[in-house]
Amino acid sequence: MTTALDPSPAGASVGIDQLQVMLNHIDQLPTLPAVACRLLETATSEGARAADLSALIENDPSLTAKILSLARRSHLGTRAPTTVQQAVVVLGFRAVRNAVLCVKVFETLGGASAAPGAELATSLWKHSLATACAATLIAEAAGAKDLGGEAFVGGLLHDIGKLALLTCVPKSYVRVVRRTEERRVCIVDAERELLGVDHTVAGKRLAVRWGLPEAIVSVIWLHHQTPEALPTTVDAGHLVRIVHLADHLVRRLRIGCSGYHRTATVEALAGVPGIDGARLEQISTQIPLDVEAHGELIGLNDVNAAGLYAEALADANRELGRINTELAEANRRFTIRERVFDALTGFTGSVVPEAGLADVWLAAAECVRRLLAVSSAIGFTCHGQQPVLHLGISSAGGGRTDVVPFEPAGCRALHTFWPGKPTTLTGGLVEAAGLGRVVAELYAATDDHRPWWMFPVVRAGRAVGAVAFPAEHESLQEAAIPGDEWDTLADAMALAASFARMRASAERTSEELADAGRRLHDAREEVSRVRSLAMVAQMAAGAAHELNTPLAVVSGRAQLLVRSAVDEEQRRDLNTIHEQCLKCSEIVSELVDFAKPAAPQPQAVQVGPWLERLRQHWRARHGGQSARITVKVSDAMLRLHVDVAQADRILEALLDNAVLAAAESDGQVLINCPGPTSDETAVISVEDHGAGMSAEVLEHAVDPFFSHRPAGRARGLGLSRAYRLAENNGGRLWLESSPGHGTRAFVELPVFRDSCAEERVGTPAPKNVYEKSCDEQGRDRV
Amino acid sequence: MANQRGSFLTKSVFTTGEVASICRVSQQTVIRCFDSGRLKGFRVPGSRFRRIPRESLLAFMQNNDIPLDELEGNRKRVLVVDDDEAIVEMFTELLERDGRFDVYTAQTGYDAGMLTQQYRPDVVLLDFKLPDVNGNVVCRTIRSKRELEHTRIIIISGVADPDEINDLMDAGADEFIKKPFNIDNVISKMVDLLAI
Repeated sequence: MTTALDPSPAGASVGIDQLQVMLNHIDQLPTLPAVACRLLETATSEGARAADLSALIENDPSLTAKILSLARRSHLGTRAPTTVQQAVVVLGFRAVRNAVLCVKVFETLGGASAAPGAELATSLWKHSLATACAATLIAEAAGAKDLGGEAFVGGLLHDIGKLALLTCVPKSYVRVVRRTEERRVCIVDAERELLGVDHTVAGKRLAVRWGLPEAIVSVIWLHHQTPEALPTTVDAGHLVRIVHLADHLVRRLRIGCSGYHRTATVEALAGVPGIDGARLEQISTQIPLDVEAHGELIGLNDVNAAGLYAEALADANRELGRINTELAEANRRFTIRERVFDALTGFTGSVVPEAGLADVWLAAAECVRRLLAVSSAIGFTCHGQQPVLHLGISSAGGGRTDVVPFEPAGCRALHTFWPGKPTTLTGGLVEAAGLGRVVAELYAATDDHRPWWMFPVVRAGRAVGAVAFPAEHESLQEAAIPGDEWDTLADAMALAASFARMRASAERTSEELADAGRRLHDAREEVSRVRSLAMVAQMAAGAAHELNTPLAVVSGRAQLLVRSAVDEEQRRDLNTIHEQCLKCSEIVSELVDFAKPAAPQPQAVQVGPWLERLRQHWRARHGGQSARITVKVSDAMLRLHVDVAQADRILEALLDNAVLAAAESDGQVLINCPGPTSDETAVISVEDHGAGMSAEVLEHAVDPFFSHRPAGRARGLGLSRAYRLAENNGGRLWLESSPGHGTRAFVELPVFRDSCAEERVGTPAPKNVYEKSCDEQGRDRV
Repeated sequence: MANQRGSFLTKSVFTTGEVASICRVSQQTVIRCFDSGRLKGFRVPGSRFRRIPRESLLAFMQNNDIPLDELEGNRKRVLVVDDDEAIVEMFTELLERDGRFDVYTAQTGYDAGMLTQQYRPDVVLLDFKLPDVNGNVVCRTIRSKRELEHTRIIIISGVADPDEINDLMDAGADEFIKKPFNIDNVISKMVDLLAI
C-alpha cells in the first residue's frame, strides 16, 4: 500500500503538518486479519487451548498447509502429522502460534512486490524474525519460559514501525536507510529528520490500532531504550529488556538490516539477569537455524544459515571498506595541513617586527616556494597609489628585496589583479594576471617560457599582494592543497603585510612631521625677518615726510642767504649747507624706497650684455678701486625678465660688498651666470675670496643697517635693499660664506619666456614728474 | 595813482567811475552796460547809485577781453599752503623778495579753501600732508570750481612715493616739487606755469 505522497526531497526537515499527514497514513495501514488478532489474544491469555488454535488455523487453508509442512519438517518421528491438531501437538503450542503470527503479519505488511524498497523490506523482515527467535531463546535461557511466547511476538513486531513507514513512504524510507549508512547516524535521528516520526512512534501507533497487548506495545515503543533508562513504571520491563538484548544480538550477527550499525551488547546484556556471555554465544549459534526454519514458513526463500553468514560477512566487509576510505581521506588532509602549518610556522618565524614591506613579501615568497617545491617565487605588493612594486624574490640560493616602478596604464589593461581594489579572486592558485603578469615579465628569463602562476593574498575581498612563480610541474596540483588551507596562509600573510605597511606609514609620517617642524621653524624665522623689515619700512616712510620739511627750511634759508653773501667763502659754506641737506634727504629717500620699492616694470634683459655693462659702469665710477671684476656667462643669449633699474641696484649692492672684501684679499671678483637652473629661473652669483663671514654675521647680513665692518662702511642698507628688490622682482637672494673662504652672493631671477611678452604691463610709463625734475640722487636739476 | 591802484587790488565793490577808470572806457559806457545787463551789479538801496561787485567786474572784463592789469595789478598772487610755519615764512620771504608775487598763506586746508575763494590766486603752492585734510582733496576741490580753472597748483612735499605723485597729477596738480628744493628751480617753474 504505497501512497502517492512522499515527503520533500532528501534533506528537508519535516514540519508539524507533514508529521500529521504521516501519522494519518500510518493510520490507514490495513489491520491485521482477524485470525491473527484472535491468535494474539489466545496466545497471551490464560487457558489457551490447542483446540482453539487448531480451529483458527483450519479456517485458513494456506495457513493450514504451512503449518502442516512445518510440522512435517521438524518431525523426526514415525508418522507425519496430518491434521492441524496433530501438528500443534507435535510442534508445540507456542511454536505454532508463533508461526501463524509470522505468516499473518508478513502477509499484512510484507508482501514482496516490485515496489521500491522491497529488498529493504525483506532485510527488515529477516532482522525481525531473527530478533524474535533470539528473544525466545533468551527468555528461555533467562529462566522466563512463560515469557517465551510474548518474547517471540515482541521480537517479531519490535521494528514494525519501520515496515509501516516503508509501506507508507517507500522512497523516503530507502533514503533514510541510505543516509544512516552514509553518515553513520542513528536511524531514529534520520527518520525524525527526514520523515518527522521515528519507527518507535509509528510502530506504537500501529500497534495500538491493531489492539496489540500492552506488553507488546511497550516493546515496540521502548525497545531502543537502554536498560537503565527504562522507567520502572513500565509493565513488562523485563520483556522489553529481553527484546532489546535480542535486537543487539541480531545486529551483531548482522542478520538482515536494522538500520543500526552500533551494537552495545554488553550493556544490553547487563539488563537481563540470568544470562552470561557464554550462554549468549550459544544462543547466537542457534539463531540462524531458527531463522532458517521460520523463514521458509513465510516464504523468505533465500533464508538459510549459510546465506545469512555470507550476507553478514559481506556487510561487515563493506563497512570496513568504508571506514578505511574515510580514514585514508582524513589522513591525506592532515598531511596537507601539516605541510601548510610547517610553511606557516616558517613564515611567521622569519617575519620580525621591524620587517619592512618587501621583507614580509620575501618571507611570503619563501614560504610558498617551499610549500610548492618550486625553484623560485616572487612576493609582491604595491603600496598606496604610487606605481611602485615592493618585491621579495626568493630562490634556492637565497632571497633579496627590490623596489621597482611599473607602468600603471599598461597594468590596468590587464585589470584582473590590482592590489587595493576589490577583487573577484579568492584563495588558491590562479594564472598570473594583472600585476602578476608585470612581475612575470620583469623576472622571467628570456628563454624561459613556462607559464607563471600566482597565489593572491586576499583578505576580506581586497587583495593586498600576491606571490608569483613559474610553474614547474605540468599540472600544478592546486587540488593538492585545498582552498581553506590557502586561506589560512593568506590571512597570516595579509596580517604581516598590513603591519609592515602600517609601520612604514608611521615612519614616513614621523619623518614628514620632523620635516614639517623644520620648515615651520624656517618659515617663522623668515616671517620675523620680513616683519622687522616691514617695520623698518614703515618707520622710514614716516620719518621721510617729517624730516624733509625741516630740511627744506634749512636748505631754503641757506639759499636765500647765498644771495646776500658777503664773500666767496661764505657763499661756499652756504652751498655746503644746502648740499648736505640734500644728502640728508637722500638718506631718507633711500629708506622710503627700501620700505616700499616701486612696482617693477619687467623687461627682457639679455644677461651677457647687461652684466658687461654693469661691469664697465662700475669701473667708470670707481676707476681707482683695485678689484678686478670678471664676468662669466655660459649662455649670453639667456634673457631675464626683470626691472632693469632695480636689477642694476641689486647687482651694484652685491658688487660693492664683493669689491670691498676682495680689496682686502686677492682683488678678484667673479660674476657668474651658469645658466638657467629651471624653466623659470636663473641664478647669478657674485663671488669674492675675501675674509668671509662667520655664521653669526651671515645670519644678520641682510638686516638693515647691520654692518660688521668697523671703518669705511657704507650706509648699511645695500644688502637689505638688494634682498627686497630681488623679492620684488619675483626672485630670491641668499648668501653663502665661511670664514677664510670668501663669500658667494646668489640672486635668483626669473627667466624671460615668450609667454612673458603678453604679460607685460601695457600702460605707458606714467607721467612721473618727480623723475623729470630730479636727477639720480634726488637733487633738483638746475 | 599808485595808491589808487593799490586799493583797486583789494577793493571788492566799485563805482561806475572806478570801473570806467579800470577798463579805460567812459563812464557813460559803463552805465549803459550796467543798464543793459551786460555788466551785473546793484543799486545802493534808497538811491540811484550803481555799484559793481568785483566778481562781476572781473567777469565782464574777461568776457570782453579787457586786460586785467589795472584791476589785478601785474603781480601774481601766490597762495602758500603748509602747516609748518618755518616753510611758510621762508616762502613768503623768498617770493616777496622776488617782487613779482603777492603772497597769501594758509596753514590748514580749510584756510586754504577760504583764501582761494577770496583771492583767487594764480598759483597755489600746496603741501601734500595737511593737518585737517589731504592735499589731494584740496587739489580736486580747486579743480572742480570753474572760476578757478586758471589757478595753477604746485605740490611741494617731503613724501616722494611715485604712486602718490601719480595720483596727485591725476587729481589736477600741475607740478610736483620735492623738499628740500632748489629755490631758483621753484621760481622758474612758477614763472613757466604762469607764463609771465
